[in-house]
Amino acid sequence: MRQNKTVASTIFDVFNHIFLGIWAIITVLPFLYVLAASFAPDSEIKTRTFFIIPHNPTLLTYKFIFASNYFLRSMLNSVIITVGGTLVNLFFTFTMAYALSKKHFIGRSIVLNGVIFTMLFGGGMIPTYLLVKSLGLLNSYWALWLPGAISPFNFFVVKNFFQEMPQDLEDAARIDGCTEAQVLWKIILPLSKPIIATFALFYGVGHWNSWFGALLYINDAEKWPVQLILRQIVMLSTTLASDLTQFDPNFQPPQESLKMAIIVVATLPIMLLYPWLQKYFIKGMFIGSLKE
Amino acid sequence: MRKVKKILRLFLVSICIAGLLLTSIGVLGASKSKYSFKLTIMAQYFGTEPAPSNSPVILKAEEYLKTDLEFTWVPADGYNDKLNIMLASGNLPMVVYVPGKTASIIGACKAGAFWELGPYIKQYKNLKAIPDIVLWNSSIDGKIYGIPRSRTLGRNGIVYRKDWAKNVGITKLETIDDLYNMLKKFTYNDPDKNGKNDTYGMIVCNYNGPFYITLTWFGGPNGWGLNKNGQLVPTFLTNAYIENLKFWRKMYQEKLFNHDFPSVPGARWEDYYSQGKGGVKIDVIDSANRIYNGLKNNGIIPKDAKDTDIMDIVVSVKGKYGLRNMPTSGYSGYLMVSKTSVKDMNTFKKVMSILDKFGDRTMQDLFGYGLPNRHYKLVDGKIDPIPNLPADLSREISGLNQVLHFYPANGGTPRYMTPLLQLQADMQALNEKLNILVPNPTEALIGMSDTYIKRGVTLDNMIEDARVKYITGQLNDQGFKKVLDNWRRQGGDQIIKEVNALYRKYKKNIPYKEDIYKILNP
Repeated sequence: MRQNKTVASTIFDVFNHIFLGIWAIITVLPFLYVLAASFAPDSEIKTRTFFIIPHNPTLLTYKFIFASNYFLRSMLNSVIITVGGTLVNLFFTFTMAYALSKKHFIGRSIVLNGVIFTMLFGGGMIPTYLLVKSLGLLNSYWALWLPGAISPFNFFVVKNFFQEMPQDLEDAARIDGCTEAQVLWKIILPLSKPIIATFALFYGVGHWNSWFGALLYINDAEKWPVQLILRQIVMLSTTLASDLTQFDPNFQPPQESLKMAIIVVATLPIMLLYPWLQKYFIKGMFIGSLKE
Repeated sequence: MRKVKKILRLFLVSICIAGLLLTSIGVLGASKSKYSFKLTIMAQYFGTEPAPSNSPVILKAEEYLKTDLEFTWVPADGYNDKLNIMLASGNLPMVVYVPGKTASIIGACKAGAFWELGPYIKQYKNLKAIPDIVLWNSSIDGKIYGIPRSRTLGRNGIVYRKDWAKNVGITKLETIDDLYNMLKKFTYNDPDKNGKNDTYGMIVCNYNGPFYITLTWFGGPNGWGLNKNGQLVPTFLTNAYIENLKFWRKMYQEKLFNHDFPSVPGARWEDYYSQGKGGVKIDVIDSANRIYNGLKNNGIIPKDAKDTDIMDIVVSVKGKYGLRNMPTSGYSGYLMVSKTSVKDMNTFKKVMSILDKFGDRTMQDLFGYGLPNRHYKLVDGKIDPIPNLPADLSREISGLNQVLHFYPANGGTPRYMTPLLQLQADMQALNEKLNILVPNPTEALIGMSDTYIKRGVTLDNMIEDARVKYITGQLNDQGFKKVLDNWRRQGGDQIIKEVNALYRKYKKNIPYKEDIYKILNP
């Protein structure tokens, strides 16, 4: 009996390892291909179907990307948008969640219902644009930061997390002479590091990957994030090139390798954030979802 | 405690810095104003980056026009989204590039968001060169709201590998049978002499252009045609369409083109030719030079091979009904003048006269090619663009030609031509000279049909889907007929009714003789 069980569990383990291994390979391979293709000349990408190691590695596309300061500036723009946006998100989400996690907060249920309402109904693109426009935010990064400053879903997770914090901690702090703000900054937030890291990552990745807001609200091409340029290049190489060339004799469809290199440049920074925040990440998700 | 305070301070300070940074960028971006008049333009751009506002090309143009130019560049891919939202917000710049007649644009024109240019266009020296056909094709609701951006009408033709034809002993390409014969030999007679059976007569992709070009050879109309009773009917309800379908199915069965065509994206289409895999391309004539360059860059042909020895072009091939060919609509998008930012007649006239000047030789050269000895060289008084400009230089002209309307056509300094480029230009001209182009009488009408606006895309897809399935043999004659019946029931009949009513209403505006779009094979 005992032996049987071991055999079964061994089989299960072997199967599990093989399955997860294959899964991991399937997930990683496209990334490796994109990375490899970004170092390969265009002719190789067109003639070889799939490869991990380019035959004739070249740095040409990377030289092209970094030759004009346009890409570098758009990267910097992306960094500003992401860092600034994440700070704004965290500030508003956490302060609001903290306040609304207190049962004695007057008008709490009205505000909470209001938040739920926004999860179900949105104004849509045009009214939002009109609002942003009449607030005078067009062409400034505040147009990207303010309209989505609080994600209702994230807000509720944070609120539930705050509610589960032991009341005694707060009482102790208050006895020691803390004001409301001090309780939040000195007691609660230091204890919330995992959840802060988690939502910083959520919000940050969102800002880094978004392009539509910039397309709508930012007219000045000098302020565009790298994702907008990435998208333009990727989409251009899938439209009918001959259709574009009559009008634009100077236009050359973006090269395949350029597309790959820009994908690498645009995704790498945010991917590098994951391992750094990962230890908080899992913890944070669980803390937020616990229910008493 | 101190640590928390520090974090708090850091946090607030960084928000302030971010804010300051942005406002300072805003201040720096505030534009100079040298001239008394400022023209704001929104346009799309292709490529990686748009021209910066301090580009010497733009400065030069401002000097010539005595006007400040302020561009809003939108990536081509997101252009419609941005345009729609700007339309809805009533926040349009003075001149707006409009890519096509979408429902929202038609609605905006009807609602008076743009100036109607029709009554004024003939008063300007360059704009009056716009042919009536193009004006009609580009009209919305029978009225002209935008300056169409010129395109060659006779842009389509047959491009083929001359060296391959020589290798398999073909000397002429005049009839449909000649073409079929050529495709067959290009597929089975090893035209590239590499001893392998690795070539196709032609390469086909998911773009339906080639199919509709050959349709005209079989006597079919371009989009819609006039039947014996004086009614307009769509192509797929004609015999010519069925005959053409059968021709394509036969070519498919004999493997004269690639079997994976429905999944080949348009962007990859020409690559197959540049790799020497296909010999005939039924498409725009100007692909000949691109294929030649591709072949050369990929080392398929010797570097010193003469371009006209490798590629050849004919405008069309003869069928039962003589030479026929499909034209383009003659324009691609418009420049419209918005009523929200151009409020009075005086400003409007000023804007129009600037737009008219965009057709001047100076402007066509500047925005089309840039500055001499910087972006192009003059060879025998002709413009020869410098290839592979460094990024900073090519950026200075990027996108600028998107605001040109190219009227009068060839109004700029002529371009230096290689023999093949010259052949391309000659063939495009020949298309129009031979009078073989079959116009689409509904080009301007179809967008006015309410049912088409509502259900047109679904209905078009239905036919397209059936077309591909018929060619690949997944659908037989009866199956195809069933699809047509479905099309009729689900709104097709209504569209036919509406289009014909519109046709009767606007008939006198259409600048063609009726004969030219009669269905020869009904």
